[in-house]
Amino acid sequence: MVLAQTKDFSATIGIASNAAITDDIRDDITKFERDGFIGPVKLYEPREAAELLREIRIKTQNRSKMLYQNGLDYDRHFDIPELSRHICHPTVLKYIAGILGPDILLWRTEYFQKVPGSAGTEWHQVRDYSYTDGHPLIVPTKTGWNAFIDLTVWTAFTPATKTNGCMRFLPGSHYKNFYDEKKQVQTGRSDHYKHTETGTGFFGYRFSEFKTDPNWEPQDSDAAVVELKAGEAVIFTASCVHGSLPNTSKRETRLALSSRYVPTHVRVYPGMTSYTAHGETFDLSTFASVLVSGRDEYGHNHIRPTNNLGQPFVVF
Amino acid sequence: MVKHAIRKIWTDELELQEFSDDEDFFSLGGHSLVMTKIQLRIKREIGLAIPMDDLFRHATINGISDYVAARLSAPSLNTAGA
Repeated sequence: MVLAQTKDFSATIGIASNAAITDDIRDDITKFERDGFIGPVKLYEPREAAELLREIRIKTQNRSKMLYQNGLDYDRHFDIPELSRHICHPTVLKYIAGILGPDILLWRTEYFQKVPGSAGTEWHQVRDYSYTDGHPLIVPTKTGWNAFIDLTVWTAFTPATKTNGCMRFLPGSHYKNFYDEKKQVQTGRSDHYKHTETGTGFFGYRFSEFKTDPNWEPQDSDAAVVELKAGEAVIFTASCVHGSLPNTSKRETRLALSSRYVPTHVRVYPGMTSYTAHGETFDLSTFASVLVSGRDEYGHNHIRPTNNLGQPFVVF
Repeated sequence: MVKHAIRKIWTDELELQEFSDDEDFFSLGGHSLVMTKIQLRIKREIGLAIPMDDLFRHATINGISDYVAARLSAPSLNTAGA
């Protein structure tokens, strides 16, 4: 079911006027604009995904060249060559350019591992990530942009199923504010903690505290459940209400990687030297975005052409 | 002897009885939290500290047993040149 499309938010919804849409994905882009997500999109053969996963798992354990010294594994594309390449996957960039336009920055990667017995991730809706500590992490600067400012590519490196905790979405929900990230909430922002030990629905936060209408309850019957094979991705705007099912399997760990992209006019971590999210502090002194496509004519963001191993990111 | 001890640790931590010495840790339902427990027990019971990336790289009973045996039989760096 597509939710009522009432626009009551600032204009960050829509396909960019300079989007480069190729004929083979035109229908997908139309669906994306309507629903807020599109998938499955095949990136790797299952066997190739399994081989990548094996390397990623091994290299994730070596933390000597990580960008941040904290308990989270953000931005490992800087020290794991397989992820340095993954963020520049041609199919991913084709879709992103078809929505955001040709000039694109990768600003964040995150693992999402769900071990057997894990709870589902509660419904949430994110526009500028200010839910984290009250500060927006991304801010558009182009006047009259009137289009999406942030896309997430959620790639499953294991199968993602109804049993082991695949993602689900409320189609069309990006057209309405069901949550307000600017709210002053009680949970998640204060002390340092290990998010895996909090027992909350959103990695240390309770996203229901951000609801604009406390009486509104997302209906599971409205949800679109997106199962993926290993090597497939779902591409979505985080402003589309989304979450995941619990992992009720006995022996299947689900592992996915989110890659987050913005057009080059967006300021990432504007004016910030550090930020706090999910119980950890991130020192931004070595942070940089990666220009994965096109040109940066704005100069708002620090951009690095190489990873922490000195290897160049392959720009298309 | 080493293989027997490691099999006992895997059996306990994976909560599995029936699996072969060549089956992959992850295909048996293992994940990083379980591997952390295995790492601690190998250190405590066999006396060898193994980096996590090496545990992930040698993710079968046979693989990690061979790795442990080789490490235990190698001359200690601390005594080299003594």
